[in-house]
Amino acid sequence: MLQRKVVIWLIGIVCLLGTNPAVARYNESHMLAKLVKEGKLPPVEERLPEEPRVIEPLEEIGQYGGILNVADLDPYNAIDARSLRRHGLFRFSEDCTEIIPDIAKGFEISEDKKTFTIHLRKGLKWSNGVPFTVDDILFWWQDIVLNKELTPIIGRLWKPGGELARFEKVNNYTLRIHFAEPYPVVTQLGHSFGSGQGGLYDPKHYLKEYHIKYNPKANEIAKKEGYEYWWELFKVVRNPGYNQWNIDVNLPTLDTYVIKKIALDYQVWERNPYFWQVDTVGNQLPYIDTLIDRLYGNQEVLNMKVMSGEIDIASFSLLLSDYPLLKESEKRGNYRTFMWKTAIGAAVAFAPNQNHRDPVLREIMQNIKFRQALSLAINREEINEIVCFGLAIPRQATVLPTCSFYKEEWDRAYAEYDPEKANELLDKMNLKWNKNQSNRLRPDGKPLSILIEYYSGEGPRTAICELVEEYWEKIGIRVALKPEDRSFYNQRANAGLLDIGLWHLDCVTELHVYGQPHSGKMLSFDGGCGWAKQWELWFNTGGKQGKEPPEEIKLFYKDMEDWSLVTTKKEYVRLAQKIFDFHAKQLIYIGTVGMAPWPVIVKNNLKNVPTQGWWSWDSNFWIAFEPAQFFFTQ
Amino acid sequence: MKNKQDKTSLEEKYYIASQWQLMWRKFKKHKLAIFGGTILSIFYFITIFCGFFSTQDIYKRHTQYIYAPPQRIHFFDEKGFHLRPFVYGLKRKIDPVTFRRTYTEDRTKKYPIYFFTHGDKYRLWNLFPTDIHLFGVKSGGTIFIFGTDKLGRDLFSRNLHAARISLSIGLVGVFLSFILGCILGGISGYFGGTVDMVIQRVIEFLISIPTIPLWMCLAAALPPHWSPIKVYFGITIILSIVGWCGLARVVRGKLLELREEDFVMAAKIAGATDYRIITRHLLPSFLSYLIVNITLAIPSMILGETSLSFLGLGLQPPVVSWGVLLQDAQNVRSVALHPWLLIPGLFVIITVLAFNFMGDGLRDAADPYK
Amino acid sequence: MVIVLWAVSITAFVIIQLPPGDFLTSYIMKLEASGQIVDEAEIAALRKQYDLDSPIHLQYCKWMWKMLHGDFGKSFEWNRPVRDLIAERLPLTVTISIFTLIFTYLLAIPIGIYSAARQYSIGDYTFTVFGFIGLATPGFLFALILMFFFYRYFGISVGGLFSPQYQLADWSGAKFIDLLKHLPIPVLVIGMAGTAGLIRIMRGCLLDELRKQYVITARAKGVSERRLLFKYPVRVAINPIASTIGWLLPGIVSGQTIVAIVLDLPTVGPLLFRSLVNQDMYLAGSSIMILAFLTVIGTFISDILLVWLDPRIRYEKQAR
Repeated sequence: MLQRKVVIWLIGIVCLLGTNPAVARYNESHMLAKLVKEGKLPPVEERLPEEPRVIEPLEEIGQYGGILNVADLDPYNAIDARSLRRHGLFRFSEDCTEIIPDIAKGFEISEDKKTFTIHLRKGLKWSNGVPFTVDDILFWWQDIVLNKELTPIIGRLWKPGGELARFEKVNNYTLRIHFAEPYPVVTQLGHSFGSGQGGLYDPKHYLKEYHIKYNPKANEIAKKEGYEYWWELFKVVRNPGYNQWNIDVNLPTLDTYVIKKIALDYQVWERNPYFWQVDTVGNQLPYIDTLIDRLYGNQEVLNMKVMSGEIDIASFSLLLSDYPLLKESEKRGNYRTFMWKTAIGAAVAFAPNQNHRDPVLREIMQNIKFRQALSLAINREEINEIVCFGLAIPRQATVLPTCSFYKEEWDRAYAEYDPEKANELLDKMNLKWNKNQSNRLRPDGKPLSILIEYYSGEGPRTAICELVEEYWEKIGIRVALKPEDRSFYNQRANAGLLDIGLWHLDCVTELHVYGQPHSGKMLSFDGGCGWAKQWELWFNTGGKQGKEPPEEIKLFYKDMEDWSLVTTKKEYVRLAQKIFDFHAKQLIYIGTVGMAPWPVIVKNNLKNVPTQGWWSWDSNFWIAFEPAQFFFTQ
Repeated sequence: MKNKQDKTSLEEKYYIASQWQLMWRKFKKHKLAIFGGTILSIFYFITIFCGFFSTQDIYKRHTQYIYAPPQRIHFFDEKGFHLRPFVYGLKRKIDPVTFRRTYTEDRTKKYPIYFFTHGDKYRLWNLFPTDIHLFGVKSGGTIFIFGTDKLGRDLFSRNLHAARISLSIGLVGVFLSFILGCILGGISGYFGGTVDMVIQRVIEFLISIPTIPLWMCLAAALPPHWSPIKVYFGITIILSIVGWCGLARVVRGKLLELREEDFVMAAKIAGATDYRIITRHLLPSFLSYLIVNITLAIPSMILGETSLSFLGLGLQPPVVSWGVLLQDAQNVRSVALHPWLLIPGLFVIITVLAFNFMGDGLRDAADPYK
Repeated sequence: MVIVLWAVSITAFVIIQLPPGDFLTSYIMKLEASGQIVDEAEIAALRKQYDLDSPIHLQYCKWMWKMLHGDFGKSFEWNRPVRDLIAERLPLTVTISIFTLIFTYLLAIPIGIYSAARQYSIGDYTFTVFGFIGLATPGFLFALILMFFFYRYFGISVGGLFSPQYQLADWSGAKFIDLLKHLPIPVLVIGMAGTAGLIRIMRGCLLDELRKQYVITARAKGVSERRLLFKYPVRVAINPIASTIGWLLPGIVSGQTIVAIVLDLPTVGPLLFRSLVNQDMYLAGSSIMILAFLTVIGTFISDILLVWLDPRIRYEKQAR
């Protein structure tokens, strides 16, 4: 009784002290305590860094133990399991407006925005007990990124103004990155995947063995394993984490769980004894000992497993259309079903090809009126009703309201359903109806028809396209639908051969739209739709190839360039608004419905999981919700 | 006296009846076969006039009636029996928790069913514009005999139109494999020797390639810029590439048997050309076997089309075939919440069944002298 | 036989190369699907690493050479030797096949005999109709519906061959019993079409046999119906069925891929399907080769079986 009181007191003190309490002793899982007793593991105090990251549990302090059963459909997209265990030096906050230090202790961006300083946690260790230091980051930079065999071409992110970044080791726990120009875009690094293992650091002590610079015999080792060159084996061993199923079982990690067993249809992960997070009373996280990821061959079997309660937590592999079924089976499966929001600007965004090969169509597509008419003809409410249970938001294709520079008018720009106005606009363009009033004619007298080629996977594309086909036919445009294989669609889009491209509009959160100059959806001439490939070529080749874009597009391009280098908040907001004002006026992308709901199921006895949240790649799915503090009530 | 005469004439008829007449007689005795044949004729007849038999345009949406269950046709209401059948209106309710749409009959709204009504416009055989449908309700009402799909489209009409593609794919596919099988099997069986050896090896080789990889790769190799019509023919060709081998073997086996018969020898001695012997003497003598085999090959084509669709390799919407419709249905959601999406499966089963019954009957009848 | 296999190997290789793109294109698509951006340079390096740029005939020669030495290559997707992957799946595949075979024969032969002996009886009609329905139902649909009904009315989660607690466990009696519990649905669905077909064959052959002179003679001499049926006709009628055993071998390993995909069985079929979708070259190629090899072997076995079962063929061959 007395002891219990003391504990309560302790909790009280800890809460008063706030973060980083000077807790005298840490607690650990029984599983690890046993290993410590047997002398197989050093005590928990020695395993944790000097200042572990303290996580405040969402609902309550958890209990140790249990197995977390997770389901995935594809080894490359084992997103649920991956985002439940992986970490980066930093991560984005849930709404992607803020960078939160995770493995790292903190970071600073110098006033002139040319220097980026990273502070690491002292005493933080790899899953095999070897200390994690700045050397692991430098190894990644000097021996992997700057190695010609491993990285033939260095990504744009590291070369603002064309000059390579410079890495400076201050001490074992402090690193400075210098840029030639003021370069705040580097905040993109804050994304947990980009700053995770393989993204910004790698285990030097382990990978040295396979690197020719440190081990002259690296080539022989590779030959023995059936590869020709050392760098082939090196890449396999290093595994930047795309495919969870071909991970090297001995690879040290900083993540929550360490791989124990890989079979074709499941993986067993066990807690990382050196994991560097604790809760507010000093319990080393994670609470749950084991994570089992099962790979199912198809959606339906996965659904059945969820419905019969064999899966503890699932989201990425679920479908919105299955929500009624999942909800109805809640009792039987003993789980809760939530609807989260996706950080997607438009479930499907259409981008008319403004560089179309056919000069007549090109002229039509480049006409703002035409794009406005297309947008006005879409009945977004109805799409929402049919496809998203009325839970998405009918809106124009633009950034999310969580952005600091967001304007509500972007949402509403030509997003109302007004076929009469659309017809008026087309009439003004002099696109006359044919004799029996069934179809409009192009200026050259041919019927105005558009072929919508699309990739039918990923989301409700077919349903939306079938609806849009009907809407546009009502305003006199003949539409044909053609579902295509993904690679073929991409090939066509890349070559600029589509009449109208379509993709979902992601990368529309604050940090993401900013962090990806020229590659993010709204800031590029492609965006999965290939809407202006000739202009893109013109910019990329400095005007040598491609077609010269009109002045306004040149200005748009310059604004984007300037935006990535701004140094003041005011300038940042001004340019951002200029760019997205332009989007709203030009309707380069025509949106449908955005921020659609996404089903999440959580077992009833799994606690500390939020009921509401943003579900997106941008915040890297589960990572934003501190999955190490999820636990099972016994 | 008269009776006896009748009997003798009957017997006489039996003896002088041609092979085909005899086969017909025997076939008639096979009840299941007659049953199957009837069903098939009905199906094909409806298919030919599918625009007329369907109640509405297959792309017409009813946003208010998404996943509506089949409407029951009533003859009785609170007032008693009505000669003219009618349907009740549907009342939609969306569950606030599960978001599931449920429908109940709205007894206050009654829509009588009229025959030969004017409805959505369509072109019969793509030639004659008309708007006459076999039955329907007056505007304002709805009639979904098989329910509706995810966009609120009438599944009855869609099923009928799907039948057109699915049923014809069987015929066209079999026709192709029939030609291939007959020519190659015929050559192989009639000439024998090296030709026979080569063709037999080719068949062996084709059979030893597992079907699914073969399908997948052939389907993937269809030029992606093809129009739906071309894809349709492409898929038929894919199905018949696998299909012809069996037929070729049957033809060859039978030919080998017939080649040794006296009448062929006689024709040869009389100086008939190979072409004449094959077409005039051999073909007719095993045509019946061919017909049996063809009848039994059609169902596998129809099933093949659904399998291709299942694997995502077949036809794609907006084209409608039974396989395409079943693509929408092959999930737990449909089985649990909207089982009427499975109706195309029923059609497939019935059709295949009917073909098999008929084939069985034909097989029994094929050898009328037994 | 060797020539057929060789032709298959070429075809297998061509087949994998036929669809546009290769493993890397589908790999990149997948990364992009989950929001990752892939560097052009990375792709070029991977392409070189996987040897996707050398001419096709060279790739083929390399592959053949390795295969002749028992090395099936490495799967791109799983980063493991193809041999290991197939070995992991083979035991359960064979188990299912054997159970399905037993089920098929246990059901088909007696029913076939009954149907022939009592032709046009109610029983015959019933079996005929059921048999044909079995033949006519698309397997994937039947599997899905069955799966759902077992879930709803018996609370059994179907899919896979093990309950979660046994999936990871080592082999034990309890695990085997768990396996047995999961077997009925796959066996039923996979065996359905085969059983229906066999009933038809058995019935047809037996009917032909029963019309022969020696049966009529025997009957005229007063041999009991039972003896009459089982002494010779049944034995003769079983011959063609025996000859199908060889054919069933590859069919059951691969042919039921669609059902295996629906039920998510840990067998070779879905693995092969997945490798084809992802254009995982060596895994797909080697699986096709193995299946083709089984088919050829199967044909060979059925020839031998036939000779062994039917002395007439044996004599005929000797006479030649």
